[in-house]
Amino acid sequence: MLRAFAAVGADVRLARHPDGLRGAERLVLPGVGAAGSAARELQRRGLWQPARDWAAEGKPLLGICLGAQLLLDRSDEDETPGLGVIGGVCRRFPSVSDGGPRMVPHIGWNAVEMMSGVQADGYFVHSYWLDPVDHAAVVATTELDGFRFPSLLRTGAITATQFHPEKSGGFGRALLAAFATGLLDGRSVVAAAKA
Amino acid sequence: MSLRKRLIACLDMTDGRVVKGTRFADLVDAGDPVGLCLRYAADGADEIVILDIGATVDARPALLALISRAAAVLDIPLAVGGGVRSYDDAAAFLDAGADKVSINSAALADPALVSRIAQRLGSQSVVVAVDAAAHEGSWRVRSVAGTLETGRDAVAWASEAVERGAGEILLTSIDRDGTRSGYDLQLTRAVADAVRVPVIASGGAGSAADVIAVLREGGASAALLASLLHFGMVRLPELKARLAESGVEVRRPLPAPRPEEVAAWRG
Repeated sequence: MLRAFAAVGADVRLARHPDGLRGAERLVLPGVGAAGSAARELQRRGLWQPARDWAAEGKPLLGICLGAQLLLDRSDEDETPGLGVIGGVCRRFPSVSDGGPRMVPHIGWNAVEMMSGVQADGYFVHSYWLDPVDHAAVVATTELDGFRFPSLLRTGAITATQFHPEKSGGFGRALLAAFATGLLDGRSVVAAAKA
Repeated sequence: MSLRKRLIACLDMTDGRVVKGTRFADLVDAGDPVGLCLRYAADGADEIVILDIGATVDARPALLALISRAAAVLDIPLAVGGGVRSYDDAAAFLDAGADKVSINSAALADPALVSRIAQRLGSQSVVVAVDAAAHEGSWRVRSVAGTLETGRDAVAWASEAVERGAGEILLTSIDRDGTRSGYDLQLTRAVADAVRVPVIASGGAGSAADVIAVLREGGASAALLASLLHFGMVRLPELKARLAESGVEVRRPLPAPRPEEVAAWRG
């Protein structure tokens, strides 16, 4: 993650405790692993409440994969409470008999399909999916064995990706660069895109 | 649109040098693994596998340094195999920047190693490599670079590895490896039908048609390409175009969007 941001020219550092957030303009919640242990680790390091405050203040936040799932109210995985900065639930893929995909975890490249019709390919590794309350936040969806789920969310200054932009080739790099340079900061987006 | 079939470029190396692959006359150092990684990534490889076939203990620091250099420049997943004998080995590879580790002989010697690594590092980072050879109507697993007959049934072992936490199976047909006579479609299909994780087919690719066959009839999620690429028998852009024409869904080599375009995507 650090390598990927460095590759797009961002000044990036790892925050191991609340002091590490001092002076930062943007916050990234990466993550691979289990929701329960990730949430406990954030709490143990004293980063849980600062992350919530960060979002409440409307500051730019990027959640990736598990980091995106933790932004919701709660996760079915380990019955873990989330940060609650995006309304919704992180759900396990349904079983095959309930219309779910055959291969779980979803590992590999898949289409990230924007509502506008534009597509890009992202690299995914996950067993749970983002189910936000506000569907207006859904920028893109992805389909796996006929099961469609949101794969890119944006609301205010918050961006959440189910795929891993740091492993998603040029598309992922462009997304990281957009976040690092403030293009995903929220209201300024339209002006920045026009500039 | 659904999950893409992957083309994985495999670099066999020893002592920090790529064993095969000198076709890139324009590369300053055709034996440098990092240069080759970048070239294959730029050509559209969906993933890179580095296999240290020497895998001596003495060479470990150099291998970790190499992983770190490759990970720093790659924007696609990187898997590394060769000499992973313990949880600490796997953790060191991931710390250096690999996304996945491939385990083979050590998993056969101690199947619980798969569980230990998967529980702490996640199944997504554990690839179990299965080297299989035909034996009286089924397939038997061989260990130690194909030299040791284990007596295990390949389909049963792949299933056990997945139950223990393997996130993917890298399946090599020893009979076909190096023959360029095509992948073992029956073997691949048997394992792909038995497990619910991606199967990466390896061994025997001689043409684009072989790759198409293993991804379709073989049921593989990915094809591992080594000498076919290294010796320039196929190039990835053309191979992907052939796959797409045949109805195999691959990651399309579209130009990357500009950051401003990404920012303009709204719900």
